[in-house]
Order: sequence, then structure tokens, then C-alpha cells
Amino acid sequence: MEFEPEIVIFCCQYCTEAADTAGASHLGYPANIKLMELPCSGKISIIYLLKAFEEGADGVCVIGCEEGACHFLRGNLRAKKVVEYTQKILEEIGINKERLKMFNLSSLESQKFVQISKEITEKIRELGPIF
Amino acid sequence: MKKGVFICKCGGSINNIDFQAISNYIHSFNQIDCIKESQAFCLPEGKDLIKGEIIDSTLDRVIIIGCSLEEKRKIFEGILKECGLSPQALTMVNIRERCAWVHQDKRRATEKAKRLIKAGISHSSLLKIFEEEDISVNKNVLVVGGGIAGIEASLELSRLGCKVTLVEKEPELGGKVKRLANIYEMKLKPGEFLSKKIKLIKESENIKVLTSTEPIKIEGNLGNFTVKLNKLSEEITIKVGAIILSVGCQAKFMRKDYGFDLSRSVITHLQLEKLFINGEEIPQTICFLLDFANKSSRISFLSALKNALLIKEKVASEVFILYRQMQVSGYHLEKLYGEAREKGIIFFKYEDSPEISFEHSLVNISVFDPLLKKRVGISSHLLVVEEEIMPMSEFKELGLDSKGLYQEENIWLYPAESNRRGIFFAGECREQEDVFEALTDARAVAGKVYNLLRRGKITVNLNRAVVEVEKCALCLNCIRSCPYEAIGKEFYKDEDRYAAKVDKLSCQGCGICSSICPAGAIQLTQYENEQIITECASLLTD
Repeated sequence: MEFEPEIVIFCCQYCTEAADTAGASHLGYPANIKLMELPCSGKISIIYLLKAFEEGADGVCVIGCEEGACHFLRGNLRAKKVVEYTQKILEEIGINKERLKMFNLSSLESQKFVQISKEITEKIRELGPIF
Repeated sequence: MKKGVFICKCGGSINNIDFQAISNYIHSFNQIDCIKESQAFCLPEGKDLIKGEIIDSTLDRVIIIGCSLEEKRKIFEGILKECGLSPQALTMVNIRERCAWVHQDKRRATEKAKRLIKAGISHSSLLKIFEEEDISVNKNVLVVGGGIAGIEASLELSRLGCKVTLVEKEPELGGKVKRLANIYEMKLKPGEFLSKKIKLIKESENIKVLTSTEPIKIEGNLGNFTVKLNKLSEEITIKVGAIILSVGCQAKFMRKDYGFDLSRSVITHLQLEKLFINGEEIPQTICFLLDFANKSSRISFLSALKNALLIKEKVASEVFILYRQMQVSGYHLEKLYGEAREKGIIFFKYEDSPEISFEHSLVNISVFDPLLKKRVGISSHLLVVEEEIMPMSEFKELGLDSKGLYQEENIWLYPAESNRRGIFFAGECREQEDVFEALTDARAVAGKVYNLLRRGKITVNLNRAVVEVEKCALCLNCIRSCPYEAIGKEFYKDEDRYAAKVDKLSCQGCGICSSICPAGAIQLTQYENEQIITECASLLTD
């Protein structure tokens, strides 16, 4: 049986609109993607990302608004830092840092959301199961 | 805690999910008190069904499985409110847009739906309900800057019944409009127009004017600001609920970009207006040089066109306008441009910067016009150049844009608000505006402020940060990271110590402080760490 990765996307509440629009327009993306809604991508913390891997995620994504367009001014920039830092931790404990990624999109870009979902699923499928 | 799950089939639009399997799956949870299915819970029969179940089974958590469109959420929150529950008790699991409509495979879509439902149920079990809270606010408003925007905002607020303190650093009101010779499409002279407005201000009982006064410090948050003012080195403290900044901007000659100084034959737009006001003689040929330093704004185009017409009417002069790109976006600007062409003002376009040389009292300009494909030489008695718009030096701690002007909180959603809740911008301190735009802007901002303060109390956002005083180590990370300056330090009497304090009204619930706090002392009411981690775990395991 083909390996089906588990992927969690932590998404700010405005970017989930992009996901909902993708749904409303019936744009298909892999069922491996599971969305977790946060008020702002700046709410992301290292523990959420690491816990997600611990609970069995093969890949984790953080999606925030475009840089400079965060509803909470600097939330997405903070998210970027947290993701970069967590990538270092992952490398230290022997997990490929490619499994964690941050993307920026605006709430209207449902196409881009679909593209990101497909891209990340392919990437993780290539990398194989985490443990 | 009693939970009820309502499975909505959205009128048959969810067809690639096995509802029998979903129903069996939910029945396998043992802490659920009621499970109901319907074709559409958002229709009257469905609503009655939810209401009946909430009352009969005395539910206090409601999970609705179906869509999660924002408008539908409001319908369901309405039902909960009618039954006396808090709208926070509602959890919506979206198996339509986030599952059924995007995944083709029925088996995998059903599997994912089960996970989403599990996460929804675990989210619901950890939900905490907070009482809705109203905080009383001061209804007085401070307007800083007595330019036309400040004057209009004060008048509008006083008309709506707010008490206004209008502060101006100059000895008299009026701002930049005082320095204009005329306003396009306004019959009144700027002076008359201003004195009319100032008369209204003096007549109004609600407006208190403080001239030669500058604000020194703003403390506090929305609803309860304390502002220290300096009136001729005497300190005054006032308490207000909201602040409108209409401090305007400075206009400066860009000496560095032009490479020459101002002189008798080279003047700026504002100096030209002064010539008109003083009734001085206007020379025979005048040339306006626009967009020379690529820092132009449509306001300088407006003032060049307006003044060129005025000169043409008053004196039989020859008027040239040199431009790189004609910017005529804005109310009545296109018409003004057409009028200027009709009246015989000569326009030359340029791409490469014109060569400028000075000879006695004449300015010689040589410019290549790409439309004529010819080099044109102009000898002018007067060259009018642009000023650069510079920000005022007040309140640099608020968000600023790349030009140093005040940055709106969100250009589309909240164009008049600063990043500190309760502080608003009006007029030119945010963006360049002509007189009419400034008037409209000021009235709109006044309406916005009134709307915020009119009840005398504001309902606190349900999703906000709260501090656990015992855990706080006062590392001040939260204070530094808050984008809204909503966090400060306060002495808690009960615990007899200092700790961080989140202002209930200023907090917007982004959660940055809670994720930055090393001790986990700050939590968002609707997104606690434990909630997020448990929900995430349920998403990942069967």
C-alpha cells in the first residue's frame, strides 16, 4: 500500500478563508492535509510544532498572511522566526528540516493554497514516514 | 458538562461522506448526551430541533457538524443565545468545504471527517466559558492639531454630543489652509471658509480649544487615556476616551534632489500661494516643474494646475507645466486638467530630467519632449518647484510607513485607526489629501470614534489574553512583543507583587504574547496551549 503521510497545517484565521474558498469552489487537494486554525500565525509556538511531530505528523506547515499584510502587524514575521528556530531543533534531533515549512498567502489565494497542499504532500511522500 | 452533537447534511450537498459510518463513530464516544441528524439545521425546523434538544437535555456544549460559513455561525450563535447559552459554547466542525468538497475518494473523505469530528469534540470538552463583560469608557475626545481636518472632526463630534478638547501648537487655528490663495471649486476664499468654521467652534459649547499647546505624553488605553499637555510651559493633564491625531505634515524643498537653492526666481508652491495672498506682482512667464525628483504626489499636480489657471486668469502670462507622468486621479482633477489645456496652458512631457541654467533673472530650461520628439527651450521669469511631504515629529512610537507618515492599522479594514486601539488619524498626517478629502476623512473618523464611545461602555472581546499572576516572572517579553501596546506592568494587591497586565479593551486576541511567554503565564481564552495540543493530537490519531 502506498504511504499516506499525515500533514498538519497551522493556519491563521484569515488564511483558512483561502482553504474554505478552495472548498467552496471544489478545488481538490489531498486528504492528507488537516487544518488547525489559530487566530494569527504569530500564535504558533515551538511546542505545538514539536508535539504535532510527536503525535504522528509526517509533515507540518505554517501558513500566515503575506509579509507586511498581517492583521496583527508582525505576527507572521514572528511565526517565520519560530519556524526557523524549530527547523534547527529538528535537525539536531535528526529529523529532516524539510518536514516543517512556512508559507505566506492572502485570504483570497485559494489556488495557491491548493498548490501548497499538493506540493507539501508530494514532498513528504518522497521523504517517507518520519519514524 | 453535557454535549450535544448535531450532524447537518447541508441539504444533500455533502454526498461523498458515509453518514452512517459517521453516526456510528460518534455513538462510540461515551461522553455525548445527544446526537441528532437533519438535512439542514439552519432552516426553521432544524433550528427548532436544536432549541428543543438544548432545553430538553440541558446541553451546555453544542457541536454542529456541517459547514462553517461565517453567516451560518451567526445563526447558530443566535440559537444558543435564545436558549440562554453563551455563543462560546458553540463548536463548528467543517466537513463540507474542508473535507467533502475537496476530496474525491469517499473512504478517505469519511476517514478525515472522523478525525475532524474527534478534534471538534475534544475542542469542545476543553472550552471555557467566560462571562461577557462591559467596561465603562470616558466619552470625551482629544483632537490634536487644529488644521482643517482637526476642526471638522471636532465640529462633527460636538454635533454628535461628545465633549472635545482641540489642541493646536500654533497660537491660532487654521493649519495649512491658511496659507492657500484659493481652493479649487470653492466660492469662498480659504480665509473666509476658515473663519466660518472657527466661528462655529467658538459657538459650540462642547469644544474646548487650547492653542499654543502640545501633547507631551499619552498614557493608558482605549476608553481611559491620560494625556499630559504643555501649554506655554504649564502642564495640563486631561482624561479622554479616544484621541484623534490630525497633526498634518510639513512641506520642505528638496534641495538635495534639485541641486540648486530657492531664490527670487525659484520658488515653491506654498511660496507662490503667498505671492497671491500678498497681492504681489506675478512675472510674465512662469514654469512649473513637476515630478523632478520622482517623489511627486497628486496634490502637487492639483496645486500646479489650480495655480496655473489662477495666473492665466489674473495676469496675461505664459504658463508652462513640465511633467513626467500626469497624475490626475482624484475628485475633479481630470476636469481641472482639461480646463487648463483649454485655457492655453502649455504642457511638456519629459523622461530625462530637464537641464536648468540661470541667467540674470531668467531661468533657462531645456527639455526633450518624447511626444513632440523635439528639444524645447523655455526662458522663464519664475520656476515653481515642488515640496516634499515630510512627517511631523510627534508620536513616533505609533506605527509609521516607509515615508515616515502614520501607518493605518490595516489599509483596507481599518484605514483610520492606529496600531493602538483608541488612537485615530485624520487628515494629512496619514496620507496627502486636498481640502475636500480632508473634510470627508475628518467626518468619517469622527463617526467612527462616536460609534465606539457612544454607549459609554465597550464589550470586551471574548478571545483575549489573560495573565496568571503567580506564573509571571516579569521578563517583559510580552510587553515588547504586543503589536497593540496592550500590555503593561501592574501591582496586584491580592498576590502582593508586580506582574504583566493585559488591557481588556486594547487586546485584539492575536496570541503573540501567549506564545512568547517562557513561563506560559499568558493564555488566550479561546486558544489555550492545552486545547491546541489536544486538538492537534486528535487530528492525527484515529
